[in-house]
Amino acid sequence: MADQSVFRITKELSDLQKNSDLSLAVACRDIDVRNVKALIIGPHETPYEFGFFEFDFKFNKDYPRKSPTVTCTTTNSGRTRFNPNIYANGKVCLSILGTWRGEPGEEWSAAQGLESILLSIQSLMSTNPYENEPGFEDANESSDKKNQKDYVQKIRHETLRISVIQRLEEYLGMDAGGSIQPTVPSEYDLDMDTLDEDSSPFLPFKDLCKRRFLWYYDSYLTAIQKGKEETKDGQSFARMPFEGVSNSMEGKFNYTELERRLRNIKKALDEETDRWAAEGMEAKTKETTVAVNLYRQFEQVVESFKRADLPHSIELVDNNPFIWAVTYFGKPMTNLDGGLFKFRVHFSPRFPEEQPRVRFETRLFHHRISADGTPCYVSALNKREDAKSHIEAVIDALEEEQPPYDPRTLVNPEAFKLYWGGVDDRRNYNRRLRRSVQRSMEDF
Amino acid sequence: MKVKIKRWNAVAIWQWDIPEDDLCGICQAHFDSTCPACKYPGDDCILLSGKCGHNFHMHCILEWIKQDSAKGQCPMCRQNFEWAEQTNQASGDATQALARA
Repeated sequence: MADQSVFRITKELSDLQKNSDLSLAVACRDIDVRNVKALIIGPHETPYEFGFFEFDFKFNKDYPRKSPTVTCTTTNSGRTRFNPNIYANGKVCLSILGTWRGEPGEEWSAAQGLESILLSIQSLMSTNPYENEPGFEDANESSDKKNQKDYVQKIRHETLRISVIQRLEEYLGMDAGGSIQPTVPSEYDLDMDTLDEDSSPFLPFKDLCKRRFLWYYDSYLTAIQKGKEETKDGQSFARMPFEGVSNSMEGKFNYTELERRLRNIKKALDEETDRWAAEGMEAKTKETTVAVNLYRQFEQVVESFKRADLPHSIELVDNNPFIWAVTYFGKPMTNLDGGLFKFRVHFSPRFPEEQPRVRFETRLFHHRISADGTPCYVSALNKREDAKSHIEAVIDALEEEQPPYDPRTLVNPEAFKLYWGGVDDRRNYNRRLRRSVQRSMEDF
Repeated sequence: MKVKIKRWNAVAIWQWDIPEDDLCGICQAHFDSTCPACKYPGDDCILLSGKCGHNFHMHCILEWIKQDSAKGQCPMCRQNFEWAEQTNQASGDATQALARA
């Protein structure tokens, strides 16, 4: 009787992980399902766009009769209030959590749960968060209009600085200057089982955020460009009327600095991917489980593509099972017809905990491929360790004929805008895609 | 060919006679299985239907409704939760249980 709630939490966790929502992620340690970490990726066309916001959920024994306790942990160590309803101390004011007086019918109910709370928090991250503050919903004086603009401007800056840049620097062991702390190479690195679970920090979103960073890198740069036009370096943030002494968002704009740090992170991530090759060679010599597994998967994929008579070819680069070079012929009767595309799949020695990183060598103007050649594809969660499913997912993303509008797949801002623009824009997009397809053949 | 039946075992399945939603909104388990507190589905872990059309495991909705903060409302639609009268034995038990609660 005691642990009834565990049953429901476990179910909710697995449902959320299965439906692979691109803007939500949840995780907990196997031994403790009552303490859940959740990640919300800031919505498109808001100042929170593609920021990484993390929350701690604590489910008590009386869940779901009572709501869980929710704390925001992306607060710049308790110094930054990201939203009128998300305080610097981590408190999340939400009527369904009982942390805010709500209209009747907005309180907690047993039919609410992890996902509905996350969606409620995500809806706080809006285009104009100023009006979330009670009393400011319809504020429309000229001073309010200025405040609304100033508020959006500083949230965008801090979203980039704190939720993206600081987080990634921490993951990569970098300081703001861009230098990386040398990590002592350890024999145990390749053997995760020997680590004591409790003593190691629990960073479930590390690999996810790194991969999302590569997706959204161009959008971050676009946001920085916009910020540079609207603010001056050294200009102080405007204080909002509802911000208190220890519950506000203070600081100065410095987009030049942000851009430098952002570029350093991109460089460090690319170097990390490159390092996997050398680490992989070493793993191959030592015949680690991952190396043997990848080599076997490679042989199977080659065989199955051959059997299915697919016009793809796959080779190992330098006979390294951690780098696969894929050549793929564009599908006939589509915009990709007549193209010849090469991409590489880089595997980590920690695969599948660290998911592969794919990079197109062929330059292709496509709304699902970023400027540096990173494709935006989603592999099913239950097939994370299946290398073939990654390759198929990349090709599916490329060939998808009528994708649903989904700004979370916005990895190439220019192509995305044309693709989802008017009729003329779409024609222009198709033309540019076909031109790049044609060039791929000529270059080959 | 003549066949002589010596012995036969009847097998039957049962399920709750409810309209559509097959998950309990509170524990999110199937109605045909039990609520998290029970081991065996059926008479030991029965369902309760509200007039609003929402169904729950009896144990789940009783746990919810006995709290003051629930204000007697259905967790799904927040209307006052009143159980629908039913003729079968199971809901009779539930009504008694609710009366005791």
